[in-house]
Amino acid sequence: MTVELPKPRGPLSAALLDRVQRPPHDLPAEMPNLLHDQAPPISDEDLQIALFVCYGLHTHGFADVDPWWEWNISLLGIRAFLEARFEAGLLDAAGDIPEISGDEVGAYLLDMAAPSPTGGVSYFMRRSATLEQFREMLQLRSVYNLLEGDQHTLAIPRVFGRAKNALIEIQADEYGQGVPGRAHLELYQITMKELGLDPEYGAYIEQMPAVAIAVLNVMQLFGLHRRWRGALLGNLGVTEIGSSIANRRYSEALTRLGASDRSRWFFDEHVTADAVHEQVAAHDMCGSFCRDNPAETPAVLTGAISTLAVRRAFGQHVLGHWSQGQTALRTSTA
Amino acid sequence: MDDDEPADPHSPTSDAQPDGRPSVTIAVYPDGPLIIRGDYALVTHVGEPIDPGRLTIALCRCGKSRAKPFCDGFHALARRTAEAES
Repeated sequence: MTVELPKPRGPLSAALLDRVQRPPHDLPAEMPNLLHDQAPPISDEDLQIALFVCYGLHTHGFADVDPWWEWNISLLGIRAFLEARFEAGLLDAAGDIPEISGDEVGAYLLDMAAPSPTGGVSYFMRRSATLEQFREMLQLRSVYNLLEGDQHTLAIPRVFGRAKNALIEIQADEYGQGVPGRAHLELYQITMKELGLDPEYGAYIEQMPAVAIAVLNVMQLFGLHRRWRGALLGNLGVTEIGSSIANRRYSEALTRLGASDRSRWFFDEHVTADAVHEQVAAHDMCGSFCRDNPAETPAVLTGAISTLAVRRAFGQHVLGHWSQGQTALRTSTA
Repeated sequence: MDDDEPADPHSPTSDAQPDGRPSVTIAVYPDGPLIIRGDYALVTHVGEPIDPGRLTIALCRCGKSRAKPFCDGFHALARRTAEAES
């Protein structure tokens, strides 16, 4: 897999992208000063695209970027600065974290992230979305769903006991038990192709606004720091909870829009898979982890609540633009 | 083989795992489905096999699933709707 570098979205990402195309060297210590402090971090284009580049170095890498950049100390310093800004935005969005015991965590998460009977993006998709809006949504979700599973796999070596069993039970499904063609990311490729989209990873990065990239970056932030291992589990928990309902609505939207059976496979697979996963994630994974590591219960909840806040901001961006008759994709002027 | 020896836990006819635990567990989740793990066979009332689609499955316990016998998470939506109407 070859991923092209994205285009810059502000002074800091312009400097970073210019530098990483050269041989590894020390980045200027004053580089953080290039980041303007004008947008909330989760919707800051310059910040989110720069983080996408920093994180991408650890997984898929980029064409024309020396792999030694991954552990370049000065680049890691820039990343730490960006992450501190991002993390502050997430904690701000999460607000007060409730004090509950490990025994209460499973039920709390299932209630907190339960699907809305008459609201949210999936409800709109089922009832009203046009085929073009559905295609926009597939593009907006593409950098997460085309590597679905990989973000949460980073938690496997960091958690132990019952929580690890539960995490692996979920992840094995995400990867289709290793059967070629059955991984969820492969099913997403089929859906994209059926709707005439390019299934190549990163093909639509330029069309994704910061808030859509933040949905991925929040997982990478939690996944690359052991101190946030609980938050990564919380992120996976609320990613699974309510997902059966949402995916059924997406599948029904495709039926209404006259799309092919094959295009619905990804969503139909998630209906029954995630009915298992939401229970396993809430009770066996997050609940067991919090019972075993009570001091990290707030991290699990912070991960869950801040993830929902990012997803809410993403949903508001999408539905807000669509309700104005506009595209939710990033345009050159955005 | 001596008749007094315990059955080989790895033999296909054994119904226990090496640690003595049963080969199938049915876990009851609070306000949620039954989750079945292990070496089970899912069949209709006349014994026709039902493709489970995955190793670990969730069976509907509330009767509201539209993917029966599997859970489709609808119990949570039904509860939210009932709360909103009450």
